[in-house]
Amino acid sequence: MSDNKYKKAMNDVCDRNFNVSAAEMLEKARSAAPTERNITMTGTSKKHLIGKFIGAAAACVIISGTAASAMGYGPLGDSFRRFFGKDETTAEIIDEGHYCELGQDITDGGFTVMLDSVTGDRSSPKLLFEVTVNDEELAAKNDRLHLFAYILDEDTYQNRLDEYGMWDAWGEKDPEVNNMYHVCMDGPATFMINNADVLAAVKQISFTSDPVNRKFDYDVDMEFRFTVPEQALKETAYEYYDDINISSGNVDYELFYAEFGAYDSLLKVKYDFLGTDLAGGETDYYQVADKFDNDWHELAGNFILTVDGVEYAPKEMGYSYCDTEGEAFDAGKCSTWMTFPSVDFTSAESVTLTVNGQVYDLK
Amino acid sequence: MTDDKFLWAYEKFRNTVYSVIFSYVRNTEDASELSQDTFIKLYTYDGGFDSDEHMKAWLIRVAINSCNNHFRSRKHISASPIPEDLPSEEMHETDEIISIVMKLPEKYRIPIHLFYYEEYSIAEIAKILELPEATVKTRLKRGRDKLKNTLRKEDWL
Repeated sequence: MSDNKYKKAMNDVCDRNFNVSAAEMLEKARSAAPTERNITMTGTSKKHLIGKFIGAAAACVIISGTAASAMGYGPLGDSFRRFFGKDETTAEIIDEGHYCELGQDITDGGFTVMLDSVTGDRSSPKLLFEVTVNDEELAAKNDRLHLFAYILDEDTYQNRLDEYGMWDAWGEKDPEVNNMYHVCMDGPATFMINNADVLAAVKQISFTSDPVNRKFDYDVDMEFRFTVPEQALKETAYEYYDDINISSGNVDYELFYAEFGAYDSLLKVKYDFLGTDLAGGETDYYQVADKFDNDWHELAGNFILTVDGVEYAPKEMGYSYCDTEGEAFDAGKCSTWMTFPSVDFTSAESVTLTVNGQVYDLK
Repeated sequence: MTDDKFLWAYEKFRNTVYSVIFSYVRNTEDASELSQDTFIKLYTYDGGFDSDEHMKAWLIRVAINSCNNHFRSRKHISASPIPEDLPSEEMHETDEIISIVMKLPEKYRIPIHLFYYEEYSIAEIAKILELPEATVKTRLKRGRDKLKNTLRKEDWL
């Protein structure tokens, strides 16, 4: 750029917005620095999160809750509840038998990660990891750790990795084993359904406190390859629509897709933004995206999902994505989404969406 | 690290750290917070630096890692996140350049930033971003092409 106008402009941004003085920064750094380290820990033995059914390295063992109880291990969901007590939905899914034990161990540097199992539903698959931190002083300083992994298929991993981000999840320390953490990570439905061959590549383990090594982020390379049998994931109902059009007065939304899973019910809409009054002649969507997001949130906030007479209020409203290059839809088509609580779509006799008094049949 | 050395490093590299983080997160508050985290890591870092340039490269790498972690831990980010905190048009004339560069996809934006702000060579950018030089070259080219299309001011490039 001539005269490096960019550099001048960026320096201006820095000067206006980063106002921490050197003295203040030094004070913050001093107070954040560790002051003492006096920890004694004993060695521990590994143990698995759920069950004791380890098979061959890449084998996936499907065990129903009933079978586990009959074998004297008790409901598998209860083992899950010990570490992830807040996630009752997943515990119930495990109890229903949607669970696949993998038990693959990989060690890299100071860490051993075990991909314990896969569970969840077809909308929100979960991977359960057990992470052992061999540096017990590091473990002693951290009640939690942060695990990062690519979860893809082999071809995507080898050839198009830079198009994808990593999934991440925090793991909590085992109450009995000082240097072991349990992690429940969401995975991508796209790569994990339909008996998919999956590659989960754990790439980084991070800590908030690292007084000894002062690295905080540890690069690792652990590749887990496995197949997810269909029954390992609870069913999700998918519905496609092409005749449900909902107008806010500003935008005509076309409801084109719905997903009824164990965790929530997802509705997706798409719309044109060019030519709308809301766009005001603007052709770059992201200049006016806020207006469209506000319009959608205002409209969808009043949606009511009714399942066999029981009404549900919206749970979460999404932010829009505009496909300017026509990769997913026609170029210039935008989409957004919202969720309701989970409902039993398959068993329901009637499912409707009510918008400002207008009722749309979803089933 | 001694306090004196830290104060010197902060004054010398504060804009380097803040600007690369701002280029990633495009949000002044997050950029300020992540910049402070980066300097705290510098303060507690035990290793040595061969030179000031070595320290600068280390800070940029740590800053980029912090940004990656920041994004990974945010849920429900749309495929093309909307810049949250771009300077408003009426503030400064020069902000138009920043606003336009910040609208580039990340994979073009960061090499462009390192090239034009830090004046790093392609080889240096490749090393910092852990990418092949050919990839950096391609991204710089495509980033510049996209800027040309948007800026409509040929003399900026």
